[in-house]
Amino acid sequence: MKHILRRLAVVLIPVYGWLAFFVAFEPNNYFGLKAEAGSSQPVARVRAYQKQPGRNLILGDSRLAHFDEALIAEICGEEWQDLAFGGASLRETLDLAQYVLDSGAPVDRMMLGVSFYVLNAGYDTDRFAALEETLRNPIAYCLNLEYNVNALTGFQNWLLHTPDTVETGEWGPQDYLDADGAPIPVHRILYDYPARIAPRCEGWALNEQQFGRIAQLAAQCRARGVRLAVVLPPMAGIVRETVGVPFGIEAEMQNTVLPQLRAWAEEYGFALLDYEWGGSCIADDDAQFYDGFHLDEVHGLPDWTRQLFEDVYRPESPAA
Amino acid sequence: MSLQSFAYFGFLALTALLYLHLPRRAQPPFLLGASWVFYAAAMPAMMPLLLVLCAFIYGCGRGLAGAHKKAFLRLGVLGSLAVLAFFKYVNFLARLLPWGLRLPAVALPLGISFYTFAAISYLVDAARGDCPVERSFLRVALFLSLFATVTQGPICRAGRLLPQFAAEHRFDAARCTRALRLFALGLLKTVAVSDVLGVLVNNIFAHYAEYGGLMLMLGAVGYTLQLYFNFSGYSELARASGLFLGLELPENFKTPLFSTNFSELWSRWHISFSGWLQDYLFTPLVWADVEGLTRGRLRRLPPLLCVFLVFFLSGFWHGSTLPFIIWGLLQAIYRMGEELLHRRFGKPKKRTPALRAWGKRAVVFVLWCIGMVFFRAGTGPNPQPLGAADAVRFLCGCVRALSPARFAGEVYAALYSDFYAHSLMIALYVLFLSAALVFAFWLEYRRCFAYKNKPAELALAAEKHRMLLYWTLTVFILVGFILQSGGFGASGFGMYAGF
Repeated sequence: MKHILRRLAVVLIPVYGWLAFFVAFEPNNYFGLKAEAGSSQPVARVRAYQKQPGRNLILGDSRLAHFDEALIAEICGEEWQDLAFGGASLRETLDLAQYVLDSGAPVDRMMLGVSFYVLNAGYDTDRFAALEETLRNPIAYCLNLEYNVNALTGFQNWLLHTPDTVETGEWGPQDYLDADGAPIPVHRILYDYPARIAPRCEGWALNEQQFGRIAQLAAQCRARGVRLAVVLPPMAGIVRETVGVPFGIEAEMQNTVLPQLRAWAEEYGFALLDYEWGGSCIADDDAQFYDGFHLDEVHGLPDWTRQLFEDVYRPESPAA
Repeated sequence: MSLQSFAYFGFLALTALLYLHLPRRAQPPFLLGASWVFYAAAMPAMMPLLLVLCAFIYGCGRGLAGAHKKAFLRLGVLGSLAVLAFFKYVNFLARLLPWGLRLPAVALPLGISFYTFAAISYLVDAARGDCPVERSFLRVALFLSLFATVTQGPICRAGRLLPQFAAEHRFDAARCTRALRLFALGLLKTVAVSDVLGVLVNNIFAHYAEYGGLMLMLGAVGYTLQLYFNFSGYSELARASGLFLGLELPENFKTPLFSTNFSELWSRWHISFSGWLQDYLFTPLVWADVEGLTRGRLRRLPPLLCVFLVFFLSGFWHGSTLPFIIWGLLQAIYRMGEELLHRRFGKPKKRTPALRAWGKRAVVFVLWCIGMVFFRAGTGPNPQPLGAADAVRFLCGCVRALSPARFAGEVYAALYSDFYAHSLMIALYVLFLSAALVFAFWLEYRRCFAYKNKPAELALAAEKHRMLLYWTLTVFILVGFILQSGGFGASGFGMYAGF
């Protein structure tokens, strides 16, 4: 038997090599061997939460995933932990919120990102079960194709000294021309954004089931003394004009969704902060938005971060 | 749990570890318990059926030793076939109900064909005196429920397996090494070849109407290889599992894709099933006295007719839909055609020139692939089920639009989705799949021609530079697992488990 095990240990040498490579370059700091994760993927966020659970949490999609945590601490004097991740559906955000509440770690405040985009019934991905599997099972994590490709990308970036991507733009004249060379009023990435999201928004309908879960979450938060803030992040005017209005989304939001959210806010005592349909501090879409949904991380996000957290911490705010 | 899953690896290791250290008398009940836990975990709703069948077969078997031998044999065989037929065809028959009546769909019990055939072979062998009637319910139940074989075979013979349950099994280093080699070969075939190939093949069949001839040819060949490597790999995992426990299970595949004729192919493909058909269907048909039925015109059925009936029924067993029936008919036509050619031109010589032999292999392979298109139409997975007409359109499409440039574009487009939405990823996929196929075929080639179809693990053990081969196996298996994210979230057994 010993002889077999020794031979097997030699046969598995390629596996050790791969494992060492993977652990060294996987960007999610799954094994906690690095100072911090280099990725904002959900597994990285939740792993960081498991390692050191914060008491003030941000949940949502990519529009809330790039906050500067140091800036937040400077504004409000408290640490906030960002668990938001790109591509999160409302279902996945709510599943994560439930996971956090069920984890047993104390929670003081929770910020839940909501938008017309994630309220769309046609955007209802459900990957939380798979995420839980990779969190529970290191073998599932190590053998996951996406994470292995991320490790290869991490290795490539390390080899080529590729700097981290920051969503910001110092736009030049060439950024204000469309595909045919005609001048456009805002930079190209922002200008083209509505066309990118239009196919998904065309048959927009409210995801009633997930929308209803917001109330359930609010009730739970109230029962546990968690101060909840439901936040609709800013969007560029071009998206509102070319997608929100023509597809009837604005009408539905103004007539149905927002009134219901206000009613729940009243009933369950949470803060409703709507910057999507007005009220944001963003004055110059072209300079302060990177694309239609995402603020420029240098020229726009810090301003909105300040506004958001000042609003959260206003004395009259239920989330304060 | 699939035999290629990590849960199974843990289950097998723990079961073998405990089993090999138990006293001899405790080994069979422990193994039976483990087998029932395995089955219950896979399909708990059908566990009572398995238990009832075990009891039923045991009872009929004990009855064979008494005065009403024939009656118990008929009861056992017909009863088992009736249960099998019910589960296989009830949904098909339900669709034919008049007046829009609808019944809820009935799930097919996992492995029902395999353990039913094993049960029938036990009863017939015991009635013929080829094996003694088993007096222990435990051993009969274990013969039918053994976790290594219950889902997809191989279909074991009672005379060879039952005595092994009575023997004591202890750890043996040489046998364990054999088992590890065989398990690695099985994983290579299932994880690194079949499952990876399936990504492309499933796309081709799902969108066949949009593709040109070369792409459809790739689909036909790809599916043939996918099924072969999946089924043969799964059989090797099953045999390896048996070896870990000290049990010798029968081989199921002996490099059939190198066959030069269909008679040879069927003696090397799904051997336990073709052997079962030979012994329990073909032989009784050939020796049946039909004088009364034919009013004296014939004493025996013509062998060619028996060949036809066996293959037709084999197709029907795989499924009740037209694609399977056509597949069965094609196999019958191929075999009968071969027999007629032999009668006309004489049987092929044992020593055939290499070029002619490879030409024959190519012809057999092409004809086999044509049949496989119907087989695939009958199985799936597809968003919409495919029918016989789809299979015919598929095959007709193989001779149109044969542009290589179009083919390259279609392969790219077929793979460009989900995680392969990147040129580099597509290139890596194609490279890996090609390398895995070359390696798997090289092993098959060596086994067939250098080692005259010795058992696969013995052929591997005889190769030079074995450590290099083991490392290659390890890398391919590892990458294969990564390409399907370890199989976590997947619930399926092998491709043949649905029969």
